[in-house]
Amino acid sequence: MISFDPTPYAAPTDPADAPASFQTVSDTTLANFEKINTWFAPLVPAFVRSVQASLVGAWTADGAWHDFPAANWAPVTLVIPEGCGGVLVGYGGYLDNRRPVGAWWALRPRISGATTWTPGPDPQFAEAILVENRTLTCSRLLTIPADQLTVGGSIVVTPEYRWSGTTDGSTSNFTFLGGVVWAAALI
Amino acid sequence: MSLEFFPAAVPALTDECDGVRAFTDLANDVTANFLLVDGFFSPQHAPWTTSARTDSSLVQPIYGSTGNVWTPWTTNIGSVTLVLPTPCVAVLATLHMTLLAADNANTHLGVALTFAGSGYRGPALSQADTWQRALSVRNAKFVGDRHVLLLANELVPGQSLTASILLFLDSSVGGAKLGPGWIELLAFTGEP
Repeated sequence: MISFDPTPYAAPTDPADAPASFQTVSDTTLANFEKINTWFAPLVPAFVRSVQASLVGAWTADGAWHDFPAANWAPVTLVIPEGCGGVLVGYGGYLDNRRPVGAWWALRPRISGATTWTPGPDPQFAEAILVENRTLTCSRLLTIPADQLTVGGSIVVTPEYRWSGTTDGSTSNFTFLGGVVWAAALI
Repeated sequence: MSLEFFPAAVPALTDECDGVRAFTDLANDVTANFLLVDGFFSPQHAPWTTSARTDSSLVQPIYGSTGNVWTPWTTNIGSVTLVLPTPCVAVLATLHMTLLAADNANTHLGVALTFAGSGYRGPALSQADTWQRALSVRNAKFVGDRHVLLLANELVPGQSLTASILLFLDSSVGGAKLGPGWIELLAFTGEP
């Protein structure tokens, strides 16, 4: 809601006051138009993206979720703009287990910051992207509704992996050849 | 954007004649300002998006190999072209595809999104770039998606963006199949 001035307008009672009164109402009228600019400031969507470089081995193989090394795959930070109707998060990667040794990979994003969103108990999200004894490249999307976001705040999307580990003693058989994570704050 | 209302400041009035002139000026400026507001809310300033999609309903058997390299492939899916809006702050490209690479223990079948056209000025395709945009499977059947976000600095508003696929097949005795699937482009407008 825009609060225009003055409310109400007080008319001058003495004609001699008319010029000054006119001056006042002129300035006020133009100031009111500038309020329109403030109220209808453009709503600008925001997009961020982070790409993972190829990385072989050097994984923590305890089955727990771990961040990627920041130099290899950095988190993305998204400022929630005015009028944001929701955030769309995309994440994907190329998971390669070249040896049929009963090992598996999984990938998911961790979302923190100015949001109350939580992944919930859905096992599909808990695993997110999972491959077992195979090569797989794909991606998934998730949405964060507006009522779980704080305008002006920032959310951080951090890619995580977990890996059951190798049973043949060679981490070179397990490769994360590329990934991408991105977030879009839509108006 | 913001509107440039008239005038920036009202000159001070010194006598009644000035008052008449100033009243006329203000009346005209107020009218012009309302026209500015009206123009601002014309439909072209409303947020909007455009999209385009190509579909493949075929299950296409593929034989042989692409020689372990990514090769342009339009046989059963074609390509999709979208004229980007102005401004255009991002494009979301989605590849949905069914892959079957089950006849050989080492068969690796993949499809990757690739972009071209006067509306695309993204980085030249590299191996890593291809993997990031690929949907692939080794020795299995898979139905899945790949979502690629192109950012504003990779796009040219008002120009055409074309998305198609590259194919990767290291070997196939006779069972590799591709499709059905689709490519979809969704462009977002805004004011960067």
